[in-house]
Amino acid sequence: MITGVVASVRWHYYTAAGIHGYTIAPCNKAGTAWDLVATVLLSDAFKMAQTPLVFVAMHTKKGLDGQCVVKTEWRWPILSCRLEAHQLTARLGPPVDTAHE
Amino acid sequence: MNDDFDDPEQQRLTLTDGKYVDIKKRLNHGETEDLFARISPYGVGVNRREVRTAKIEAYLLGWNLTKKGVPVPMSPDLPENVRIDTIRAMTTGRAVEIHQAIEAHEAAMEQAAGDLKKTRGGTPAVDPISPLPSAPAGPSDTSVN
Repeated sequence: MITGVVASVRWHYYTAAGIHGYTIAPCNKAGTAWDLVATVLLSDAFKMAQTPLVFVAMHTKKGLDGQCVVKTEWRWPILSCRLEAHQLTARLGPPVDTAHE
Repeated sequence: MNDDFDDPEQQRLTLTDGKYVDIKKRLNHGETEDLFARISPYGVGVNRREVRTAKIEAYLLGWNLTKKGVPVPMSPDLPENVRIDTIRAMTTGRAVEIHQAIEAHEAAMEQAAGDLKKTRGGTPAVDPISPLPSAPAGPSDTSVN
């Protein structure tokens, strides 16, 4: 299980929803499907209804030199989702790639 | 048939010195409204200080610009004030180059849209000067005078 704070739902280069607090749990041992539960701060109704949506979890960690901060993004494709009363529940596919900054 | 909603697309514009900017290929209605509101908040006159900065901000998605060799972040995820402040901090030469590249991109997109309309032309379904259904056929010989 993975928990975190800052994340977003993206549609192409747009942010469809901003998330503050999330939990992801694998549905199987192979990690080919994941369940997401997240708290949504702001969302765009039109963008949330589009495809493809991607769940992007951001975290920062110190670099190898112990000083510089490396920002990393983990991305999962959203296969299906439901947004009710600021709570987002979604079925995710396997993580696709990561982006570093 | 032409779509009424576009999927977001991005395009890379090449600048001098191996630099580039990634921009939105098209602005949607909301983004265009935001741009106009920034340029002319009260609908009268234009805010000269914002004209070029607002256009760059509306289109810009990312770039490979640097300061002392270190990449300068630019992303739609950044807060608007950070994006604006970063754009305003660029050298005048680079900002003008980016603005001109975006203007040229806009002109090319408008040209392409115009060409598309022409190729889709043909005979209009309704004659724009056809008489109203209630209008009498032929000349009228009655007069109230």
